[in-house]
Amino acid sequence: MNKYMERVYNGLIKENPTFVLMLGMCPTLAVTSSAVNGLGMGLSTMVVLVLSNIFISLLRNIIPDKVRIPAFIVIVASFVTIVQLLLQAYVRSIYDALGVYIPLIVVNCIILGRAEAYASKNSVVLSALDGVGMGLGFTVGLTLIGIFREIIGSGTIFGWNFNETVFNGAYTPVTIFVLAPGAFFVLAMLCALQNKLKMPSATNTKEQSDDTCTFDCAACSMAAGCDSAAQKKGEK
Amino acid sequence: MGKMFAILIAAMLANNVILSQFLGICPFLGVSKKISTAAGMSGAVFFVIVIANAITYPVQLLLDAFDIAYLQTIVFILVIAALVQLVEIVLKKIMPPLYEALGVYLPLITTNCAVLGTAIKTIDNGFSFGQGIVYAVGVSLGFFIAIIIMAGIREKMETNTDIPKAFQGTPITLITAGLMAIAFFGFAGIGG
Amino acid sequence: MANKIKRKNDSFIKDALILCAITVILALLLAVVYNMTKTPIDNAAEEAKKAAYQSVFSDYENIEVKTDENLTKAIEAYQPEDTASKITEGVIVSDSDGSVIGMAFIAASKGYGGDITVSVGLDKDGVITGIDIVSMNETAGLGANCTNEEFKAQYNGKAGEISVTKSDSPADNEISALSGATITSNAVTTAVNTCTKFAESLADSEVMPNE
Repeated sequence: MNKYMERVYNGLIKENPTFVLMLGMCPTLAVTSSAVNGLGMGLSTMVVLVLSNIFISLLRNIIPDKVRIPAFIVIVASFVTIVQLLLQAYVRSIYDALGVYIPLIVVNCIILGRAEAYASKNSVVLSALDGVGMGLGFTVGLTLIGIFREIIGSGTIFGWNFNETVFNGAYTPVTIFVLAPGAFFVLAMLCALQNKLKMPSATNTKEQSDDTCTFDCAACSMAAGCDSAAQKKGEK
Repeated sequence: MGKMFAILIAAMLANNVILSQFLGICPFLGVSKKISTAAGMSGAVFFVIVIANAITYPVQLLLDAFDIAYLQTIVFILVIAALVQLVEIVLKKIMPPLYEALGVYLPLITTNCAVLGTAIKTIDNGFSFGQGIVYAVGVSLGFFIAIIIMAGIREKMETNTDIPKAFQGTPITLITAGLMAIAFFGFAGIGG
Repeated sequence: MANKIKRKNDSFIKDALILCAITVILALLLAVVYNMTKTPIDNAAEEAKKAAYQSVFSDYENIEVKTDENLTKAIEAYQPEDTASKITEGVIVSDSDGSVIGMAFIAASKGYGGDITVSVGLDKDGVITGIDIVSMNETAGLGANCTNEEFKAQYNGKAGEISVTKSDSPADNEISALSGATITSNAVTTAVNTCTKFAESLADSEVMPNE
């Protein structure tokens, strides 16, 4: 596998942001009440991630080290606004469904994390592919959670009502799965499954690879797995 | 007055920022291992959310006046990032004991989506300035309640060996959060 | 020493300038995208409104809507009994051949997750021809069910004040609430009631079309 494919594979499987790194938990839980919403959020995040990775990588030798974080924030926020405007103009249903969580892509730590850990140190092509990989990984994660919640909670898949069409309405959807608690339960089950199968994840590997969210991992749920920087500092 | 109270209660309980809005999940899972750290985090969050709301509200009026409301996201996040730095510096100078207590959590707050989320929702809901402040107080109290309960439960869970191995760590935390979310459904309708 | 401070200042200014330059470039980019998307966004909003009006007159294939100055003024002056609701827009609706068939409104009312925007169609006698949910932010699986056809269809053909009941067999002027979402059901009903009451208040004035 060449190093370009390796980037995509890394984001999609090896360091999947949802299941392995456990980053960006807020949108992961909030917008996955249906598969379409999960997919929409995943793809929007991916677009922002790829664009900001490319832009930051292009400017990596120009951005002064001291003001890099504000610079990253400005860049990410601009691309988020662009995506928001485009969604509002051309994909209104997704725009309405995602609501306030679109501007909140700015504070998704996957994006700032990749900017800091990868794009600011690597070439444009590699950074772009890194964005594609991570974005795809995030999209897959969100869509999967969305599919589970939608099947159990509303008896539909991508809006197709299999319950009515195939089972003649014999299945009573467990509504709580499309509500807030269901989000926690589905993610808990997927995490537990991962632990059981001993797949690598933030929760069952002791050491962190150096290319994870170094920017601010303590603000993210990464910290649930490792001893967060805040706690370490707090104990001192 | 009655409306203010309704906003406060709704933001605090029925629409709890963490358990029903899913904002600020990251610190909720990350720094809820001990009650003391959880309390420190929520103190810092309280401080920043309320001040951020007080600043972003006039900023939004300014944006509206110049008809550039589409710059909301970028301006708000910059205001919040700058504010966090400022609060850190000011606290260090003026109130060293408070800085000691909250200092380490402040830098983590820029990427806490509860802050940006609250600022944007205040505008979306069309609140007045006073209502916005009350809403911000309600949100941060809600954050406090949820994270403290979580930390209390997790402290007890640390010593519990009955949890199946696969569920230890994040999964059991998420399940606890789910059960708490169900409990908070009981508040639905209050202040709505 | 002085030299060192000077260099430090230099780099500080340089950093600030670079940050400014990046911001300016991005702001220009943003402005371009904003101007590009402005028309499509307005169009999309216009389309959505048109669709909302059409959907509440589903018996007619193609309706013509037109704003009326007197009507708009009356709406602005109108004080709803229930202050949680508000009419934002009203139009006079005519058939494709131009004969007036009624009025349509867009009204908002406070639900569980913020405002619920509803479009309501009334025929010339003030009977509801249909309602539609234009936008809402209610809880998925509970309040969000207000977009279901069965729920919306309950309003069709009703006139006068409607109330919400939890029983399965609603009376003539009642609709049955969505299970687990009384607040949402009430909010939608309040918005609809506000529109019908407003239409009633017009009955004596010359605004009401072709009475």
